[in-house]
Amino acid sequence: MEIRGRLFDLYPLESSMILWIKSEDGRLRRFEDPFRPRFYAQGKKTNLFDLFHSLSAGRRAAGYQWTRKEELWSGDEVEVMEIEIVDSEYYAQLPRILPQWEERITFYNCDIPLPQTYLYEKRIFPTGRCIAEVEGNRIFEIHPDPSESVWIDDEDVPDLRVMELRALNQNGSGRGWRSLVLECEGYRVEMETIDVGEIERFLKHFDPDVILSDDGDASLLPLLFSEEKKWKTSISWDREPYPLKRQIHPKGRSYFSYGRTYYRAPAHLFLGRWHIDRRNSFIYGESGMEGVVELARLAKIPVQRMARTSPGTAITSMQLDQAFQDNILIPWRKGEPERFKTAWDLLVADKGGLVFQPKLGIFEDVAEIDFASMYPTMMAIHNISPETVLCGCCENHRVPEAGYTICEKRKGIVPKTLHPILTRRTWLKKMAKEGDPEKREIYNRKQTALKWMLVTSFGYLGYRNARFGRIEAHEAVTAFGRESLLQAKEICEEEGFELLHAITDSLWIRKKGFREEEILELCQKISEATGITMSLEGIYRWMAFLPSKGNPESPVANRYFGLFQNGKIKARGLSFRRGDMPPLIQEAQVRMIEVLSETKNMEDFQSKIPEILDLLLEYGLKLKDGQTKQEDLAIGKRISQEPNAYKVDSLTALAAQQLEDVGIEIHPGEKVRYVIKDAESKDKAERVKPFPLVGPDDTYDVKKYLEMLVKATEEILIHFGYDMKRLRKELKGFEEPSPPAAGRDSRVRVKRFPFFY
Amino acid sequence: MGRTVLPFSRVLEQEVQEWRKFRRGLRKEDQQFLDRLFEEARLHVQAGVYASRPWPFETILISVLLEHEKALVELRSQIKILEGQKGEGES
Repeated sequence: MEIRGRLFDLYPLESSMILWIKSEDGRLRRFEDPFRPRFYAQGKKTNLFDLFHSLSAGRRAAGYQWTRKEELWSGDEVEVMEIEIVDSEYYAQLPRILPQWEERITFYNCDIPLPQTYLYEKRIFPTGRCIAEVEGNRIFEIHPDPSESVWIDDEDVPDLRVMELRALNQNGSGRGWRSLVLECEGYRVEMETIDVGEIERFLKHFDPDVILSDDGDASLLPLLFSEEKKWKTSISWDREPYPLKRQIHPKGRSYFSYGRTYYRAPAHLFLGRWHIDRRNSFIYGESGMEGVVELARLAKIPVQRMARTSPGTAITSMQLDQAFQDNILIPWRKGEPERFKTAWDLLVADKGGLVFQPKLGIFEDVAEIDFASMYPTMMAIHNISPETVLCGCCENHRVPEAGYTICEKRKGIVPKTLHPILTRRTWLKKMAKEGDPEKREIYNRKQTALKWMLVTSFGYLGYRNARFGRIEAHEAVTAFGRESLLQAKEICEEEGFELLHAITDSLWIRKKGFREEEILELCQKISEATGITMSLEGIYRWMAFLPSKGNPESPVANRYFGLFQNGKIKARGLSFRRGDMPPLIQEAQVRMIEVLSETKNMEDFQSKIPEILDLLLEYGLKLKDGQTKQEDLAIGKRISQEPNAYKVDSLTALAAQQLEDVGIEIHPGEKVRYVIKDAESKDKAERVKPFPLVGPDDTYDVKKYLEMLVKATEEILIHFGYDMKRLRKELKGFEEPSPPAAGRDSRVRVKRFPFFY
Repeated sequence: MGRTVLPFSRVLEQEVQEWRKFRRGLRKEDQQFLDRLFEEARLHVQAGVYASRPWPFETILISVLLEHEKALVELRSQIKILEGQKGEGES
């Protein structure tokens, strides 16, 4: 019998792959497809037979055959033994069993997640339409619907029933809440004490396809599981009828990346149902559900797993898929170490992008032009891939500066994978600007998800542990990048433009009285010269580059703000963009910037200064009044170590320790939210108070918060001569010289603006 | 991200550290000028990155000379203007 439908979920079970398919009539059905994992071994035939006999004696291997496949690095066809493993559990053990054989045998394809392998083989993908030949609940054959493709615009996405699971009155640290809320199809259940039976009834009644939670992974589900144990009742989270043991994988862990520590909560995945934790998904946070599904489709990774992994995992999966389709063996251990280099080679090659320090000040007649997806485009057009850079078969010196060879005979896996992604992203961006207004947000989310995959594709090229990584490929990309940036700069300068600032793939240029057509012509010239599309990001009415926080005469990249002609503000590095700044300060700065959004030019900006100073005063009074809500003063910082491991008692460390002291667990990489009570207090316990321990009677350090407010104002007005000193004077200048009377009723009297009473 | 060689901005910082003793041996009013010299070198870090010369101090020196040349040109033209004005005043 033929079944047509969309693939909803899949997971391995013994020697089968379980598939849940939502057929066209809306019914979700469970099927089994016998599926035995395979891996490959290369070496002397005697050794290979030894290996096979050892595995089959242990009842792990079911059979073998000889086959020919392509070896990645050399591009040569080699003969390998294809060994079929009995079931998914034994496949998962291969990385433990095989190392003892590695001296004699080279292994391939031994650690690829099985759902992905299954999808690569059958060429279907999550939420994709497929056609299956079935008998009862057993699949005999499955293939994609011929009209289906990840590259087209998916018109009729099926309706999935979504249930929301969250806690009410969660404060910043996610602990201490009042009630649990379940919502589905307009019905809502709120429970202050957890009633396991009620949850089960709700779940059984609605039978949702998707459970969307806030902190389900970190706190809600662990809590509910323990309640289930306590009451000896189970909730049917899974739809899978077979009594599978629940695996919480991966376990929660803290990790260190780019100088910061993060915490990843353990993943609670369901079988036959999606659990997406909005707070434990990078991709959801960046691009919503549409982004998660988009990547799941492209990468052939089951949706709930995709929600919990990184864009890097997605792009790697696409590369693995490409290798699979091209009949290329997937290396197990990372094989290509760095080639030996002289010190000079290293000096020349080991560089990143170019950053031209900005000129400090505020300017008019500024345009910003950006290369679109510079690094991935370089990889695609110059055929940069780990196996193509420094290939053995060709001799040229295509890479600038270092002069590495790039293969002319083979198209690399990485460029092959990137090409269609780049094309699709360009199309999605266009649709996000010009397409059906109702769908623009969706297109934008999808292109954002693709952006993240593209960004990580470059990083993985240089990552020591990446399967498809090779440092010389990474170096080649940055070399082409620097070359392109310099070419762009030269073209701009030839046309009389001044370079204010440039950073890797963006340039800010200035010329008095230029016309927009001139810039578009420039972009055209640059695109032709470099092969990467250069586009106009915008023309500014005015633009300010801010100095470093430590030294007001020292320029620094990524601290600026400007007003585009279309009325939008672009800002980097300012207080309101910083996640650790208190909401009140952020709000103050945002309002100051809003004052500027109607200005036409620098002169206009200057005329708005009194209004901005008014705002400084307004918020200054709010702080002095003592009326500000605690939540508005919350500072949120991540801790980098265990709370008690801190040697210096910074405010953040003290706050984290206070939480530990009352039994609230907090891991390195998690955020602590706290209020500064008295930063200079001799009693360290009185310096800060973390949420949720903050009470209505807790006072705050007015001076400290005023400093933050003044600093935020300085960021806006520094180029008009208003530094911290002058701004502090402005604040004080509006106060009565005599001290205020005791008690709450005394108001700070204002000299010039009676409406502030 | 697989970097072995220090980024030039960090190399600059290292050079500043290496001149610590020299700085300490200067009078206080002279120290700030030394600091300004190294700050001037920071303005042209990207050229230092691209050139990747083996002796960072050469790159620093030429960046400082560059800034001095700019200052000299600016000052000369200012003087010319002032002399011009003075000349007009007198005649």
